[in-house]
Order: sequence, then structure tokens, then C-alpha cells
Amino acid sequence: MSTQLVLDFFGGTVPTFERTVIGRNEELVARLQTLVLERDSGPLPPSHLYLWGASGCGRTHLLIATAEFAQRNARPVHYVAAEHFLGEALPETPRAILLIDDVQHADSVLQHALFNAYNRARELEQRLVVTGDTPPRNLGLREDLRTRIGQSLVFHVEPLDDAQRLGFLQQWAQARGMQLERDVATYVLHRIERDPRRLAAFVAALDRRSLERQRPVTVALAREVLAELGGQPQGDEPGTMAKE
Amino acid sequence: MSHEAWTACCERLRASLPAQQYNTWIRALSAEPEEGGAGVRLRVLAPNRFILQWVRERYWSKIAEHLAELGIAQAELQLGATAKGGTPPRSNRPASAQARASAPDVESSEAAPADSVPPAAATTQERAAEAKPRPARSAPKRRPPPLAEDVAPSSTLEALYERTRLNPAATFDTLVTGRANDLARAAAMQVAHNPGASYNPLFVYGGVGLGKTHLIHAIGNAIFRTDPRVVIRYVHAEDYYADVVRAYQQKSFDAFKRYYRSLDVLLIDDIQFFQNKARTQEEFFHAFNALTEAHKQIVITCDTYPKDIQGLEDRLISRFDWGLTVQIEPPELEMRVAIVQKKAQLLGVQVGDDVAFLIAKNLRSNVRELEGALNKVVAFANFHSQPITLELAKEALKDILHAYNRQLTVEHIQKTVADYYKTKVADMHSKKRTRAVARPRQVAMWLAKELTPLSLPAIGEAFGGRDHTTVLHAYRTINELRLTDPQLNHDVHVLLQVLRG
Repeated sequence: MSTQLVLDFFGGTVPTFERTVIGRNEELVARLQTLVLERDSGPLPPSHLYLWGASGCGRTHLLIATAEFAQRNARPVHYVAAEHFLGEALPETPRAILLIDDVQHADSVLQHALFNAYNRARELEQRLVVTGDTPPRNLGLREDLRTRIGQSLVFHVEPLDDAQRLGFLQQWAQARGMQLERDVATYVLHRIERDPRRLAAFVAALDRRSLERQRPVTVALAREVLAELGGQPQGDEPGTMAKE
Repeated sequence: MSHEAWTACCERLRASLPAQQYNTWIRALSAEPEEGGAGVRLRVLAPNRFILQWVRERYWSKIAEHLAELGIAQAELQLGATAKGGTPPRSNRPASAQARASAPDVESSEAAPADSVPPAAATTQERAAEAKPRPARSAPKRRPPPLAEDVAPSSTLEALYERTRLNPAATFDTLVTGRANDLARAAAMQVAHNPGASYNPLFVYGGVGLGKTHLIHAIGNAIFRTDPRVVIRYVHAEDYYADVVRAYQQKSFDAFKRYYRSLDVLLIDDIQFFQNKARTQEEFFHAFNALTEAHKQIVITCDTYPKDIQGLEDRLISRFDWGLTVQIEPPELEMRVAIVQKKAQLLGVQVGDDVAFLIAKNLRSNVRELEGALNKVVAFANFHSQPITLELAKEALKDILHAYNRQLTVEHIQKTVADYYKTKVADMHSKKRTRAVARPRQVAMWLAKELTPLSLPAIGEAFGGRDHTTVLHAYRTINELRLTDPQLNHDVHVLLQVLRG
């Protein structure tokens, strides 16, 4: 199950809306919450959501936070990472919230299941929150599915700016019980691809090195780790640095 | 006095009901004072039995309550219409939509959302069916279709309606017509007036998201309004297939056959999904024959012309030609504008021509995305408590329309900046440090940091092997200059716009 991976990635803490650096995504976060609570949301009837943005902008984080929020509010919820979908159909739990991550990776089986889910959503009172890497018009999916996604409320997930990234890094380190000084965080931020996943993976490597060598986390240590990783960390796949 | 009370009552309902419900049910009513007797009496008139019963079941207690507060002690709901038509005003409530932005709880006490039909209590028989192990389908509302014998005379209208699986929002009233769907709509209305007696089957085909499903729901809703006793069923081809599979697993083909042959009107959507499903096609073939022989109406939608459907038996395809085949085409610009305005009206919001035009111009191929775009604008305006203007619409649609999804490359940024400042791309890599060359280079570095996730060393590398501190310096310099140099700030702004599409 892919959920486990995600939890690992977040350093052992489940993302929540409270622990989310919302940045410029205020309207989106508000909308995700009203979706879960089925609160009146102005003149619009409740609608499905579609979130898109470049890798590392926080789509998965927001989905997991939505799942957590739904659970807290006793709303059935299912998370599906498109890449790891193995079933034949999506759950038909009434009133469930279906979270479909990275829909651009959906194979024909999942596309079909998703198409059916959209058609049955009204009757089952389900809501779909789907994420992808492009706006709906550029999604390379079946046209009947693509247009259903396009009928949702569409949000561009705005990435964090540098100050927010710094905050994220320090929060993330703290959750692991690691002391990350501002100068080290800044050093990392200026040298690693500024995608939260990469940053987090690098800090994890730094943490392990510090524990192995019993040395404090300093700029000097960060420089060593960076040098050992070849100084070209931006070429790696997300998360590879975290592997032992 | 009594008339004013009725108007006031409608105003209250308009404020408390979703616009769609108000427009569909309350606007259809009229009222007239009743002569004689003590106290003020009011007769509320419903134009047909269907509306009468629906209003009685769902809204009457609320209406009576409002009227009592307004001084009408006795009110009665009856079939009929007033001569001069005391129609209450349409619900387009920009004012209340605004008000609700600041007081989000106004409607929270309201029951169901406009597009959902409340669940009817499941019969014991259905519950028993639920108890059987059915791994893939555990949802109570997706129970097997009720058999015709279940329809007890005491069934409420709502329960009858729920069995149709129709969407109450998809009616002929809410369908926008234009050249693209004129013929299909006319044929559909014909069928709705004379089910089983005009075109059988009616075969509607057209591309994705053009309103085929809306049209067949409209047929079903129109027939139900005329006579709720007609047994109507909307079914998506995928769900019909699932029913066949279930009948197969549970060895309940007799019940399955009996159910589908008991229908007066079968509305089946997206028949192309029958491709290569032999058993489903066979079952449908027999159901088709039984229904048409009994002069029951069948309406079919498909994404292609019958002869072009792949993997469908010839005997089925030839039967689709027996009635009338009509096409729905993509709507032209004027029709798209009209669709946006109609949908806005149904939401109870006001959208200017310029905004409708902006949406219609940018989303060409299907109605679904048109609706998505309008919803986005409405949600954005609501969230920010602002009126819907052209500027606001442009801002709201950024998320849908802008194509800056493709990962920008440093090369593309360098070329764009060089073009803008009329310098050479080679200068981006060169060691030259004159102002005329260095400033555009710094701007390009700033943009690279802002618009790509690349690390600073990687950006430095792309600018002729410079150090990451140079990139950082450029970034800070431009940030400072943007505050003091309006021309530079303007340049950066324009470049951002260009690069983001």
C-alpha cells in the first residue's frame, strides 16, 4: 500500500491542515474542508475538486491532510495513488471521499474505474478529489474522463516560497527530533533542488550521517554529505537519497 | 393583504432554498385569496399533480409555517392556476449570494443539496438482499433494481422518483438550445410527449460532454412529470453490464429479465460500453425486442454513429436504425455564451456578457468544462467576497487556462529575456559584465530561481558556469531594484506574464 510510503516520507508524522504551510493556497484549503464537512459553500452545489501543480508543490501532502481531516470528522475516505492502483473498481462506500493522487499515471483500468466513479458519485453522494501534474485540458486521459475532471473545481497548487520552504525544513527536522539550525537549513536550501521532497530527503541523509559519526549537524557536515552525493543531487529521483 | 403575504413567503423561501429548488418548485406555484369565512385564507395553486404532490411532501409544512407568521392562518394547496398568474420572482440573488459569503451558515439548516434525491427507506426485502455477501458492491444505495411488484400503491412520489435514477436538475428547461442540438431536442420532446409511439428507439449520438446525458434525463423527467406512474429507468451502460454480471453470479436472470421487461421507458446511456461484452449484448438484444414489441420506449445514447460502434453485434446495430438517429454537435460560440449564462442563472448568480464571453471563448470543445470554468469563477468570487467582474474572472481562470504547467527550462527563460532586452542569448553565458549585458542576465537568473525548482548551483551552471553565490546575489539585487526602479519592475512583471503563458 502506498500510504505507508507517504507516511515515511513525512517523517513519521501524518500531515494535517494544522501542520500545513498553507502559503498562497488559502482558498483551496478552505474548499477541501468544506468538501469534507458538506458545509454550504456559497451558491455552488458541492463539487469535485481537481488539484494540479508541478512535482513537489504539495499535492500529496494536501490529499493526506484531507484524509486525516475526513477521518477526524467521521467521513469515509479512500486514498489511491494512481501508480499503485491494483484493484478493478473504486470503493462504492456511500458518502465517501475518494482521493486519487497523480491521475496522469492512471492506466486504462483505473481510468475506467474513475469514469464510473464520477458517474455514480451523485447517487452515492461521493466526492472526488483528484490531483495531477497539468491542468485538465492537457491531461492525456480518455476524453470522457478528462472532461469529467474538467467539470470539477480546478485549483493550481501554489508552491512554497523560500521563507516558507525554510519553515518547512525546520518543522520537518523538528518532527524527527533533529536540531536544524537556520544557517544549515539556508545552506541546504541554496544548494539542493528546492523541491520539499528533495530537501527532506537530504536532511534525512544529513541526520543519519550525524548519528553515525556522532557529529553535530553543521554546515561543514552538510558540505561533506553533499560532496559525497556527487554534488549533483538534483539529478536523482525523489527519495533516492533517503535510501540506505 | 393575502397576496402580499404570498410574495413575502416566496421571498423567504427564495432566501432559504437553493436556487435550483426554488426555481423548479416554488416558482411554479401561484396563490389566490379565498372568499368567505372568518380570518384570512389563501389558496396556493400547483399547475399539475406532480408539482402538487412534490411540494406537499417536501415544502408544504415550511410554506404553511411562513404563511402563519405572515398572518395567514389557513392555507390550502390545490391543483389549478390563477388567471392573472401570481408568479413569484425568479431566483437570481446576487445580493443574498453576497450576504452569504459573510454569513456562511445561513443555509446550513437546509436539508439535501439540490442535486440529490433523499434515500427512501429500504424495504425489508431489499435489506435482506443487502445481507447477502456481495464483495464488490456493498453500498446500500446501489441495491439491485427493485422489481416492479415492489411498487406498492402506498409508495410516495419520492420513492417512485428515486427508482427512475433520474437527475432532477436535467430537464428541458435547463437545456440550452442552439443549432448544435436543435434536432436532437425536438426529437427528444416528441418522444417525451408520446413515449413508445413516435421514434423507437431514439438514438442520440455525439462527442464527449455535449449534453447527451442531460437530454435523456430531460426525456425521463418530462414523462415523469406528466405521469409518475409510468415506470421509467435511467441506466448507464456500465451499470447495466454490472447488473448482468450480478444476475450471472447470483443466478437471478429471471428477476433481471422480468425487471427490465417491466419498464415503460428505458433510457440507456453510453451504449458504446457494450463493446465486446457478448452476454450483455445478448441480454440487451432480448430486452430490446421485448420492449419494442410491447411499444415501450427506448432511448439510447452513444459517442458515435451506430454503424461505427466497434465490437457490437450486427443484429443490435441494425435495430438501432429502426427509430430515429440524431446527432448533437459541439456548440458554437453564441450557444456557449448562452449556456454559461443559463448555468449562472441556475446557480442564482449574475454573470455579465463579458465574463460569459471570456469563458465561452476559452473552452470550446465541450459543455462540461464550460461549467467547470463558470463554477471556478463563482467559487472564487464567493471566497473573496467580490462581485464577478471580468478582471476577477481572468484571475480565477488562471488555474484552468494557463499552460505554465510545462516545466519551464532555463534555456527558454534565457531566450525569452534576451529577446525582450534585444540582446544575444550568448551573452547569458558570457563573462561580460557591462550593465547592458549583466542586468538582463540577472533578471533571467531571478526568473530561473522563481520559476524552476532547480538548485542555485544548477542555475549558476546554466549561466556559463557561475557560482551559486552569483545567482543569489543576482536574486537579491533584482528584489531590491524592483522596489526602487519602476521600469525594471515592469520588465520583470511582463516577463513573468509571458513565461507563464
